[in-house]
Amino acid sequence: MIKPGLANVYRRFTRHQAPEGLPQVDALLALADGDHGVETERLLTEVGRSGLHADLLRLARALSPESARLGVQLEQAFDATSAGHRRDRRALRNAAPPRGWLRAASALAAGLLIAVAVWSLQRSHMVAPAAKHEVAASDKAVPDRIFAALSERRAPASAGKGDQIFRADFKSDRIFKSSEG
Amino acid sequence: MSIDPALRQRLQQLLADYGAKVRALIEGHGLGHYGIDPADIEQEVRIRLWKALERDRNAAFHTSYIQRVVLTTVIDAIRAVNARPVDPLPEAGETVDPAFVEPTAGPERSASGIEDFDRIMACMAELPERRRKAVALHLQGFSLREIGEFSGTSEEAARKLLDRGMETLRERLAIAGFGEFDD
Repeated sequence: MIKPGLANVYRRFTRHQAPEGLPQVDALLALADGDHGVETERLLTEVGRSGLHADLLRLARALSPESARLGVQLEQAFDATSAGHRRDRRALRNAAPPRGWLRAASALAAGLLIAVAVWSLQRSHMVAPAAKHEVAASDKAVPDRIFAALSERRAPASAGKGDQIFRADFKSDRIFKSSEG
Repeated sequence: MSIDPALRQRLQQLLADYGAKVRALIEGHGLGHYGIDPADIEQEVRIRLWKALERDRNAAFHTSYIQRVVLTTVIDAIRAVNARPVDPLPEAGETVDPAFVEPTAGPERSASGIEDFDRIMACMAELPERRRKAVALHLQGFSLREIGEFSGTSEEAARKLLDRGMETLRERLAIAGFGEFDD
């Protein structure tokens, strides 16, 4: 199309020209990706006039596949490590089932013990007040006649008037005593 | 973020491989001409990507992010080269180097060929904008497909713009007495 001479002269003299300073990285990446906008149009003009801009644009395009590959490799490296850790944890769990059973049994036993303790405590609270009331009442009351009767001989005669049945002036059955009469 | 040793080793290997490719691309695209050291760029890119991984591993997976890191590193390096102190200006009465006369000039501007370049630029300035852009991109070494992609046209449309632009440029250069470019 054109002899290298023209392109050589052009590149040689534009290599050190950067009319608008160094390019913005965002615009450089956008242009390398084929995006179009005000910034990319401006940059494209600079690329035509500056060898540095042209070289940076070429570098940006050449970097794309290598950078994409590195991104994938980094992600795979992290994924592989995470998968390895998950595998290790699973293996650890599978390798020690007795400890799991033991832990479950211990938890069950502890639960039962707590339940029994709570039940016992509640029961003692219910029984204790009733017993106390009975003791207080017995101080004033006449002893139970039935049981008192058993120890009647030991009790003083003036201890009270006991059960009429047992303390009645018992007279022998006349039927049996009729023979006497 | 703590990275376990095996993963750390794998990541560092990946970044080392990528850094080597970046270095090769920088050398291959002639960016060493701008005063930067490709080995320094390789090292800096690896450091920046590693820091990015430690900071936010998901961000570093994106292609555009990785490209951005490299391009920013390269542009920062070029900016640093341009900011380096130059030799002191000559005292009054000393011979002035022609390079100081033209602030935008490179070292080759004072060499032979400057007149050819100026004439080429003058002839190109007379071209319609779209043709001028196509010609400029072609002279910078971009392919027809790339010119079409950058300009938002088809490759065929880019070819027509370029053909017409080059034809006009040749005619203008011939009229100006620089027909030797068409040899």
